[in-house]
Amino acid sequence: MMTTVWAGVAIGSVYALIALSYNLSRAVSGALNFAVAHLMILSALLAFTLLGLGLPVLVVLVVCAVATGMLAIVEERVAIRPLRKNDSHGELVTTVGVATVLTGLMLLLWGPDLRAVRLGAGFDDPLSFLGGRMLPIDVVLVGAALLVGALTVMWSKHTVSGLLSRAQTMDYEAALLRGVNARRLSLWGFAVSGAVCGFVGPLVAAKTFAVASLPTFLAVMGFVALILGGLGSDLGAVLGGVLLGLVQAFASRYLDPHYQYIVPFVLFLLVLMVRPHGVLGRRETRLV
Amino acid sequence: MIGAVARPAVGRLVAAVAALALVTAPWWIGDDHLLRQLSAVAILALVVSGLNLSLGFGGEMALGQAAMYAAGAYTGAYLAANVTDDLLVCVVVASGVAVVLGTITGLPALRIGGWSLAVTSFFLVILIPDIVDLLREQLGGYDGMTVGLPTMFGSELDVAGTYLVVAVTALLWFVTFRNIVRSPWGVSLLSMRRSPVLAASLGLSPFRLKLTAYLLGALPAGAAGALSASVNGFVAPSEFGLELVVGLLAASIIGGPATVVGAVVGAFLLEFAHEQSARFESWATIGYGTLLLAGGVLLTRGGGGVVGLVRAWIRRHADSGTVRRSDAAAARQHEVLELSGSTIRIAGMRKTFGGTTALDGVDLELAAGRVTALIGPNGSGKTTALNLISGLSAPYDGDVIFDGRSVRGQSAMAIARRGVGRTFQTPAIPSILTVREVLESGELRRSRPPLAATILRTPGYRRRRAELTAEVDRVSRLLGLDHLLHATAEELPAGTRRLVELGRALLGRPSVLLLDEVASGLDEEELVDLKDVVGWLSSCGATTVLVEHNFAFVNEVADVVYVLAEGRVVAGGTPQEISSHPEVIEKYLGRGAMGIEQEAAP
Repeated sequence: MMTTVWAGVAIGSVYALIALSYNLSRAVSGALNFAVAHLMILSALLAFTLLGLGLPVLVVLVVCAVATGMLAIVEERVAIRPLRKNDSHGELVTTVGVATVLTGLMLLLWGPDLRAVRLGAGFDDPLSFLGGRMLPIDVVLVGAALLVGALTVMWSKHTVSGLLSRAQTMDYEAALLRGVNARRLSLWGFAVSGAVCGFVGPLVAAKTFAVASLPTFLAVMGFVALILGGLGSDLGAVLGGVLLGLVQAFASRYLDPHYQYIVPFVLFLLVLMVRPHGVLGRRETRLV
Repeated sequence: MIGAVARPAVGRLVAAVAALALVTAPWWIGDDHLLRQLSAVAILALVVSGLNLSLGFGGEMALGQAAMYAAGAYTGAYLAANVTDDLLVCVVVASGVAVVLGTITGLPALRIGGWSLAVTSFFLVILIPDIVDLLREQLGGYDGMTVGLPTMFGSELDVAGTYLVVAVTALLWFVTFRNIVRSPWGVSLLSMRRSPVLAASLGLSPFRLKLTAYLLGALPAGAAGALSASVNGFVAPSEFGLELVVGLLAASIIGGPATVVGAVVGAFLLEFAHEQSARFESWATIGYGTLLLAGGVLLTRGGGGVVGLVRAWIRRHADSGTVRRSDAAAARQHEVLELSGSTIRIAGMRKTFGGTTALDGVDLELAAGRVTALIGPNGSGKTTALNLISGLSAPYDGDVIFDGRSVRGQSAMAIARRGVGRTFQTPAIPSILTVREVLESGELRRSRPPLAATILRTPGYRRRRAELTAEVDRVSRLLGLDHLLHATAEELPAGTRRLVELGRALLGRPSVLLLDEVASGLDEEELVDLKDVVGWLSSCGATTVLVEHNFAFVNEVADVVYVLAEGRVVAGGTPQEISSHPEVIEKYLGRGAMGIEQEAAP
C-alpha cells in the first residue's frame, strides 16, 4: 500500500515538473511550450552519452542544462516569436512541431532503443520509508519538484521579472505600453526554463529510461496534471502531478496495469467537464 | 477562397474530370499495387479532410481524427469477423461509432478548446494499445487481427472492387465537404475562427459550431477506418500511433486546412512520405516537425497551404476583370434600405471591473432614425457602454431596454439576433474570405439554411442563395463596394474594411447599428463619404450609435451627442449645445479646441 503511494508520488513528481515547466513557459511568453518533456528527454540522452564517457554526474547535469537552455532559445526564436503578433494559438502547432523535430533528432542520434541513465551506484538501493519502499531517485525527484515549484513561486511573487511576467499575462498590450520588454522576458524565460528542463531531464530518465517515444507521453500526462491542478497555478501543478501519479499507481496496482492510463483519462474528461479551470486555478476572463 | 474565385465553371470541369478518372481507374490501371496505393491516398484524404473541418475551418486543434480512424478500423474489422463482411454496412456503422466516440471525448474539452482539446486527442491515441489489449478476445490485442475479403450485396470484392468502394466513398464525402464549407456554414466557421466575439455578434454560437464541425469531421474518419481495414486485410494498434497524429496534422497544414482539395494534396504527400519512412524514419519525423513549425506560423495567416499558394498564383496571373465602381453616393440619393429602428433606453447603468468603476449610473436614450454619438476621453466608458448594449458583458446594475423590453442578462448572440449589428474598433474580418462572402455572413444573424439542405443543394437552398446574392449586390452598390466583391477582404485598406464591416452589419437588416470608432484611420475623402453613408443610415430608419473620438466628424453627422467622462454622462444634447457646454470644453475639448479635436488612432 505505502509502496504504491510512494510510487505514485514519485511518478507524480515527474508530471509535476513538466506541469511547472508549462506554467513557466506560459508566464514568460504567453504560449504553452508543448516541447518541454522533449527537451528533458533529449537532455537525458545527452547525459547518457556523456556519462558513458566517464564524466562526473554533476558536470554532466550542468553541461546538459546549458545545452538544453540554448536549444530552448532557438525554439523561442523559431516557434514563439513569429507568432506573438496575432494571438491565435499558433503555438499549438509550432511547439508540437518542435517536439516532433526533437523526437526525430533523438531517433536519428540515439535510435529507437531504451537507454538507461545511471547516476551512480548509490541510487539503486531501495529505502524504507513510512512502511513503503522507495528508491533514492524517487526522493531526488520529489525534492526536485518541490524545489522547482518553490523557486517558481518565489520568482513570480518576489522578483521584478516575475512581476513583469504576471503583468504581461494579464494584459499583454498594456504591459508593452508600460515598457515591459516582452521579447527579452520571453527569450530569457525560455533559456531558464530550458536549463531547468535540461537539469531535471537526466533525473527523470534515471527513474524511467530515455527513449524518443517517451516524451510525448510525458507531455500529455504533464498537461493533465496541469489541468487537474489548475492552469497557471504552481501549487496546483505540483498537487495535480502528485494526484495524477497516485491515481495511476493505484489503478495499476488494484485494477489492472491496462487501466493505469485509462482511469486518469476518464478523470481528465470529468475535470474538464465539471471544473475546467482546475481545482486551484482561477477563471480567466477576456473580452474584445 | 470559398467562392472558387474567378472561374467556377473551370473548377467544376477540372473536378468532374478528376472524379471520372478516379472512378474509372481500375479500367486503365491494371496494376493492383498501384490501385492499393490510390486507395490508401483516398483513405488518408478522408481522414485529413475531417481534420480540416475542425482545424482549418473550426480553428481548433482537434486531432481526435486519428482515434476515430482507429475506432472505425476496429469496428469494421470486428463486424467483418463477427457480424457481416458487407463493406457498405461496415462503413456506415464505423462512421456512427466514430461520431459517438467523438461526442464522448470531444464534448468535455470542446468548450475550452485550445490545448485541452489537443491533449485529449493525444491521450486518446496513447490509450489505443491498452484498450485493444483489454479487448484482445474481440480485437486481437497488440498483435492485431486479420480481416477477410469484403463483400458487397452478397458478392466478394476484389482489389478493383474494393478500390471502387473507396473511391466512391471519398467522392461522396468530398462533395459533401465542399457543399458544407462553400456555404453559409463554412463562412460561419471561418468567422468563429477569426473571433468568438465576431461570431456572437453575428448571432452564432461558437460552441455549437465547433461541435458540428468536430462531429461532421468524425464521419469520414470512421468510414476511412473501416475501408482501410478491408483494403489492408489487417488491423493492429501500431498503425494508430502518435506518428499518425503528427503525420495527419502535417498533411493537413501543408495541403491547406482551410481548403477543400488541400486534404487530397496532403494525403498524397503523407502516403509518399510513408512509403519512404521505412528507410528514413528519423528524417521523416524531423521533416514532419519542420513542416508543422513552418505551417503553424503560416496557419495564423489564413491556412491556405499549397492549395492556397497555387490559387493565389492563378489569381495573380488571371485577371478576373475589374468591375467599374458605380456612383454609390448617387445611388443613395434615391434608394434606402428599409430598416425598422428600435428605441433603446439605458437606465442607471453601472459596471465595475475589479475596483475600477467603468460606468457609474449612466442613462442614455437612443432613438430610431437618429444618429446618437458617444464621445469622451479614453477610459470614459464609451466602449463599455457599447459592450453592455451588445450583450458582450453584463451590467453590474441598471437595465438595457429595447422597445420597452428589458434585455438584461441576454447573451451577445441573442441580442445580435434581436437585430443589433455592429462594427469593431479593429475590423474583425476572417482571413481568406472575399468581400462578397464577408457581406453574406451578415445575413447569418437572421437565418442559416439547414445543414441537410446545404449538403444536398436543394432548390430551396438555391433560391435563398440567389436572393442573398441579389441583396449583397444591392448593399455593395449602395456602399460603393461593388467593384471589390471578389477581392480578399482582409487585404483591403483600413477604410474599406470598415465599410465592409458596415455592409456586413447591414445585410443582417439591423434595427440598431453600433459603430465603434468607424471614422478612425480614414483619410479626408473617405471621411466625406462616410458622413454621407451615416446620414443615409438614419434616413433608412436605423438606430445608429457612434462611438467616436473625432469630434469634428460627430459634429456634422450626429443628431444627439452624449459626452462621457469617468463613467458618467457629463452632457447630452445636440452637437451645437455640446460644443458650447462649459464642462465639456473644460474636460474634453480643451481650451479653444472646438471642432479641431483630432486624436491619433490608438
